[in-house]
Amino acid sequence: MTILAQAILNGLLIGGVYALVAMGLNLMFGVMKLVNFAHGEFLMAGMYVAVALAGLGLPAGTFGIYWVALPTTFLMAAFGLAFYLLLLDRAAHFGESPQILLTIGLSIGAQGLAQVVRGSDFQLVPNPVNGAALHLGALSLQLGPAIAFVVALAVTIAMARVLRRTRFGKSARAVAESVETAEMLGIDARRVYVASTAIAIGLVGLAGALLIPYHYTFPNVGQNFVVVAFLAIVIAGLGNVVGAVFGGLLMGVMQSLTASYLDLDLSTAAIYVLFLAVLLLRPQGLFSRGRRTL
Amino acid sequence: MRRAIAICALWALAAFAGLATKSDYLVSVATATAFLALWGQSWNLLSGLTGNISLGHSVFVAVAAYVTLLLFQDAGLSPLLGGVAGIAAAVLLAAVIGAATLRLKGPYFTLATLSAAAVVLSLILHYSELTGGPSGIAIPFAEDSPAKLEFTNVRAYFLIAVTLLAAVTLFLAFFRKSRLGFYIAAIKSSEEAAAAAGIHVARIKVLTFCVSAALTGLGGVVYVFFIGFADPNFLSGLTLSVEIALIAVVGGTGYLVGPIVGAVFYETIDAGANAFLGAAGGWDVMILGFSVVALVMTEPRGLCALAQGVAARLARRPPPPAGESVR
Repeated sequence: MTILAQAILNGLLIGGVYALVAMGLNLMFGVMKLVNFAHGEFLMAGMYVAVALAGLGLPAGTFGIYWVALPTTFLMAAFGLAFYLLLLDRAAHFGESPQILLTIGLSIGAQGLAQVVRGSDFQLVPNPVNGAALHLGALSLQLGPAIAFVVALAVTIAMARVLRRTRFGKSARAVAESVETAEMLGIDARRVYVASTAIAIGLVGLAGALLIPYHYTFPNVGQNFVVVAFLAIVIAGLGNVVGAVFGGLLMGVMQSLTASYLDLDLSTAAIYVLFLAVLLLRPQGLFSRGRRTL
Repeated sequence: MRRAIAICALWALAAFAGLATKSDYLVSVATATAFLALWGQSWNLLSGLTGNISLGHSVFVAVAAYVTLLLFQDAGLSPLLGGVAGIAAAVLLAAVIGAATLRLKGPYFTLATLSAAAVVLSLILHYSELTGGPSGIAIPFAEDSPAKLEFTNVRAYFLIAVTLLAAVTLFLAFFRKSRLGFYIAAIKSSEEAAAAAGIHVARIKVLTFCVSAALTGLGGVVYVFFIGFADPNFLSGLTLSVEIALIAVVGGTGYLVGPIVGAVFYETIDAGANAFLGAAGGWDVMILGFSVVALVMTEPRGLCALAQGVAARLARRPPPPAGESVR
């Protein structure tokens, strides 16, 4: 029983980071219908930025390393802005294959760049959060993933409110529904695209900053997260931003359960099998009712 | 007909150039290029013609290679016969994946193919008593033997690869103009209209998937003997699937020579970066990735379209008459 509870708990905590990665991915898909295969590399870039910032110095105290979270988020959001203006602005009219080619090219290129600039070593900033755990009765709670999980939940709630209440959120939902109609109603779709990209990349940067206290940073690190995030967003429903969070958590729990009870190779197979089953039986996603919306 | 003659001429030229090249290294790079181009052609048959992008094509390479290799290793069956079984296994898998993913489009189809390949990879890694698991299977070299696809001289593999590539290209040239080719084109432009015109949409889609898998598997069977080692993480990995799709789109999916041009582009950058900047350090990957980005931004339809555009501009060399807008 304890093993089961522990496995579910671990899964939920891993799922927090998946959720942050998946949320941005799904925002970009929902609004722009663009599958960003370079999303994992933005996570990687976020982690390197956070590691570099942490290298400047850490304030005293257990949670000192988390000062990098906000600057990383904003730097990466600015990066997302540049990504949109330099590449996506034109690529928006290219059609599916060239867009996939563009983001895959960017993904490969960024991995190479990271390796050229920072080498392929695994980097970890020594910090007190790494390895620390809280104990709840028989269960133990890794501190780093727990913080990431709590932040992910908070961000989800904030995102849900932004999408419901703000002008940007309403425009984004309208554009996701139909660009033509939204533009006819006077919404500037391009501004929505720019803002969505900046938010999505900012979120993945935040995920990176939350990862570095307990996870190694290396050039291919994004791949481990982005494929799971892809599966999570399809399971949740493509374009369903809040659903993506549940998809991410579900993925984490599935992975953790199968890793505890089966073995590691099969745990990968299990999430893909779950994914394929959802795809074939409920292509609109588990948490979407018929239509794809934000 | 002119296409067929051109393909045969190119084949003869490549074969001759390969035999005349002294450096074994260059010939093995060229062989790898030919295999990549072959897979790109096979991918193009599915994804280029139907518009549904597969990012799991390496699974057919792996399945065909593993079945052939295991029959060879455990039952002593010649890869020439075992290859048929290997290709049959790839086709069977394609029929299953194809039938299951029939209704899926766009990113759904792409992620489904990616997942199917990942499942097969984890199964290969898990059942290690049969497959050797993550350490793969090394093919012990005994002697030169065509029946066992074992050659000391890498040029033999080069000739096989180039011949297969030419054959597949020829096949594709006829395929596109065949009844089936037109059916596929009709399905791509509108499934509803195609179905209304009496085309069995589901059957044709699964069939296309199977043909594409068979051709991909064909390359896989010979490739694994060329390399002499079955590495599951490469053969069934996402990297190879991405490479296959990448070179086909880089060359241009609408062109018969597209995947070949893409493969040459890819391997040239790769080999060039390795030669001049060192194999370690990530330079090759970086240059490759960013040149793909640069290419998409200049000409999203690929290298062939880019070349055509440049050629057209050169042909119109004399400046346009006054009054016409000059850009």
